Amino acid sequence: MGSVSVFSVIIIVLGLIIMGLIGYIVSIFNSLVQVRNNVDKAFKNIDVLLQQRHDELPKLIDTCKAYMKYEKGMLDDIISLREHYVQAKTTDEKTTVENDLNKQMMAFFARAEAYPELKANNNFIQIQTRVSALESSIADRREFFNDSTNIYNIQIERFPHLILARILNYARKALLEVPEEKKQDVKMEFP
Amino acid sequence: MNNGTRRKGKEEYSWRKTIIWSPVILLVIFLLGFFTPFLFMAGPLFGMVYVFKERGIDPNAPGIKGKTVILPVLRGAIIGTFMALAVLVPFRTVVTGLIWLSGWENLQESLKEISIGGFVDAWFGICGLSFAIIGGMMAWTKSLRLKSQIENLPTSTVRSAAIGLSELKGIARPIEDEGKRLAETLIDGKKKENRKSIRSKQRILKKEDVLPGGKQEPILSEIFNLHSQVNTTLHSRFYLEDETGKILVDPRGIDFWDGHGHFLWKPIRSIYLETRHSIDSNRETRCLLPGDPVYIIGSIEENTEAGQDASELDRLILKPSSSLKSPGLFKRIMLGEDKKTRGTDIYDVFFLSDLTEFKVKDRITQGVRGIWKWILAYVVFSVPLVLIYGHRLFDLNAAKRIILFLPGGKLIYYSLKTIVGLTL
Repeated sequence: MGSVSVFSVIIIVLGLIIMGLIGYIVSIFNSLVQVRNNVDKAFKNIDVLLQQRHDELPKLIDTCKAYMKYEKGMLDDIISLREHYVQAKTTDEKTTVENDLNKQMMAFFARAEAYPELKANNNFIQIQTRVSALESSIADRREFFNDSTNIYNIQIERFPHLILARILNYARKALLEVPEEKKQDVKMEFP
Repeated sequence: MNNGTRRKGKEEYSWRKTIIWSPVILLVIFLLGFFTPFLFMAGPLFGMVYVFKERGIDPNAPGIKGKTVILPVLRGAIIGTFMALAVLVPFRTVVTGLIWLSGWENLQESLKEISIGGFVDAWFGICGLSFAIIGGMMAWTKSLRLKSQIENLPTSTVRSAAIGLSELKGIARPIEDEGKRLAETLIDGKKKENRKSIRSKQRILKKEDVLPGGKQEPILSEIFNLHSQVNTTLHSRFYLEDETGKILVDPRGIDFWDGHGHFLWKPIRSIYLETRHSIDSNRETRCLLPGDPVYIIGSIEENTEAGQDASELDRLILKPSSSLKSPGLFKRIMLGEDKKTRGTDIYDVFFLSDLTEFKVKDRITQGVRGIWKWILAYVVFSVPLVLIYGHRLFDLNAAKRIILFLPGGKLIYYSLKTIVGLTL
């Protein structure tokens, strides 16, 4: 094998390695773009339902104001968080506001238990029923969103993906928290 | 039914047959290897015939009107030559090596003369190597695309499924009135050797064709007749059901994958069934029965056939994407039509299997490994030719001899000389 042939072999091997490397980097890039898009898509899917639930909030607050005079601070917080949600631009901001809003809502419904007249109010019952119906649909989609976000968070922290993720400024995304009462174990009753 | 295991038929692998046919096979290999420089000239002819057959010759046909035929034919001729050289590389290298080792001088001289002093062999090597590199890259990219979709897409429940590419798993449930439609359009017959449809051999599957007991009507099935080499498939729409609901699935028109690598030529749209897979001496059968587990990655779209009063879930259908176009490489290069939907082809995935997500990934890896073996073999067969005859690659006198040897060669030669200003 002459010197030209050795040179040819080196060129071929180097070419193959470079092509393989480029292909690998492109595949990592595509994978990162894909997981980010999956999170955005999953959030858009849940956002529709969250908006519907948020639309019920002013009606709920109006109904409750008359009964829950001593909870004004809490009611104002809910309205303020709702406005923050509308103003939030990124998926991450919206997720954070939604988590806070969710906590406030849980606290609010817990406090509402202390007002028997409110609990008997027809308007309140109707709104609560609608919100509960939306909640079960949200629960399914929240699980899917959290799965998508989890895959995204894992991908951007994996090696060698994290190198490209840092260059592209891909940061961790927040998960939508599951309300505490949904996390509690279901009590099984045996005869 | 032999579930989940492969059983080799006794008649298929008879040693007696192998011994009888061996000399014939060796003779064919020798002829293919020795006379390949002539055989590769069939490449342009194959390319041109392919283009005319696929495109049709009616200049007013839809999709062709107003488009010139010269470019596709020229492209077909070049690609056809490339493919012929690439595919024949192993024969050429083996026979060249054997003749060289035998020390038979007359035969060596004849081989050199046929190869025009190594010029043709140099191109054999380059085409074989390019084929291996391009094929390897493509197989790798496609497998990565499919694997990354499997890894990156979280599994949706039916109730939370959204429009777009989704991954679902559940149980296959038949549609009550699907039987009638099956008989109308869903049967296809294919010859496995060359993947050309052979309409005359199409037939409608009966349930006893699929299962010896004929207990259940299959939802999907593929029967490959080992003697006639005819591949008969049955596709029907069905429901995928999980604990949250059911969604319509339409896998019609999707090819079955036998588990070996096929990613080179086809877009990633496949059905892979392994659980109900059996082989006997006559045929190989794969099918999906009602109640079988299903894993699918596909595009969820609006079901245009759904009625006005259909529920929210009934308005959706899981199918191969109808908006993305990602046709097979061969068709795309040869015909230059059906261009890919750029930037979005990573979402053009449809994969249906009766295995779990983990096993699907495993099978894809195995299939791609099979391709890598072929690619490696091509590199091994091509590199010696490149190294030995590489210096003859741009031998213009040899090129002139080849061109003049072709039918209409003089015309091509003088045209090139005039237009490009080549002084061969």
